[in-house]
Amino acid sequence: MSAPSAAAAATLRGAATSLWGLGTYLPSRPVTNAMICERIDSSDEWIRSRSGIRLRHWADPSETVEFMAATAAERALENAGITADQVGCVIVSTVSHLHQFPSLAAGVAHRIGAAAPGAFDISAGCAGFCYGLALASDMVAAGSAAYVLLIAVERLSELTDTGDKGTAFLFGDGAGAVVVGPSGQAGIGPVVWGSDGSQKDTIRQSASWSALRDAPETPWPRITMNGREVFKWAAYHLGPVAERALERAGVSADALDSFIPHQANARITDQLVSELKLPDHVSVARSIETHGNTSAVSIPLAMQEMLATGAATPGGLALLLSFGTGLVWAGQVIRLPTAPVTAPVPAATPPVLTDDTRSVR
Amino acid sequence: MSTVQSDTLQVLKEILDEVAEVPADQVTLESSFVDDLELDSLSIVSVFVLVQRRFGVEVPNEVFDRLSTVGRAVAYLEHGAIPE
Repeated sequence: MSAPSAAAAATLRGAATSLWGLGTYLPSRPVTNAMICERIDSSDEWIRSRSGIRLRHWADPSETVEFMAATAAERALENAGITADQVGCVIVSTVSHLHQFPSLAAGVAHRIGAAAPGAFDISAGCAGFCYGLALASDMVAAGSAAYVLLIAVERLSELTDTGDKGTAFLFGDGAGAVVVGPSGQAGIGPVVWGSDGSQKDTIRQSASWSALRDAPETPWPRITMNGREVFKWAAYHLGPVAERALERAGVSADALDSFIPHQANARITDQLVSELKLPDHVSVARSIETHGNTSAVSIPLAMQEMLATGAATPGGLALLLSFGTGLVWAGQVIRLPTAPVTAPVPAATPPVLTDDTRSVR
Repeated sequence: MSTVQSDTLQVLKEILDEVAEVPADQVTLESSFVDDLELDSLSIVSVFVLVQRRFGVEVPNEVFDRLSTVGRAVAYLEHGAIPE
């Protein structure tokens, strides 16, 4: 972490856009490793050593994806000082909205009172925040929208195989949102992204909806993952993506304030930090310890926590890096938002469950 | 098994130190990655990722699963075959 004035003086090559504000939602049910181990033959120590996870938060039935997304969005708008009717487009990244259509984005836009913005969902798994940020920045830069609301939301607890020793402990729920708008200086660097469909089975939904129809005894579709293959893929491929993102933004590792990789596994983060030889002053996101792997939500959650605790500097440069089901990957350098935030805290109580809540779940 | 300190063994020792902070003097050709050096499955992946970088040899998962000791890994890297 560096002094705010030094952080603001660091420059990057990129679009004249920036993150105006940030908001998140962490659901109300804390789930400890001991609770996870009631269903699998494992231990707190094993889970911590393999993943770095100590705690995750799961959504109550009333904490729907629409509710969590809208709550995070409203907090981001308030933090940005923007009203809902100024939003020109709403992008939602999710893999756990259990309706094939309509999009979650349209419902969220309506719920927060945005006035007829463009609205759509994207499917880029854990890389969804970085993918969405690239789209949002390009839209603002092109004049397609004055402000874009980008929201990542997941209820991965619904898609978690609670009896699978390899993944039962991994996932958490939540939402994170940012407002992207115009800026007097470059605030979002060019995205470096890609996909490799030959790896499409590495992290996947265990069965399709049609399999469920054709063979009703098919278990409820869940996340299936070859963890070792993902780890190996990440070890080979992510370092160069990070280096290209820095290069395209014209930023040296030395000029970074923080490194905020997708919180997939603490061991992957450790490996990246070692490979990239980041200087000691660069703060590294480690929020997987208390949030678990929340897919595309992990970067905004980590960003908020780092800004709130002072680990990251408002206005400083951060390297974002993510990868997920597809496999897909994306990274970019951004200037961190300057609006003050408080740390993400789990909701004290979930909202009341209603018939409407059940239908949007 | 040869007791000569090969270059391959030397590089493997460096990798084991880097990945899992295993002191070089604890590593012998007989050392089992799991039982003696106490590497878990993710650390073993990291070792073979660095092996690929240093030696330019990609070791598929199904191969390194059978390279249970340091000596077997050295033999594979030097001769390109999984020892019997």
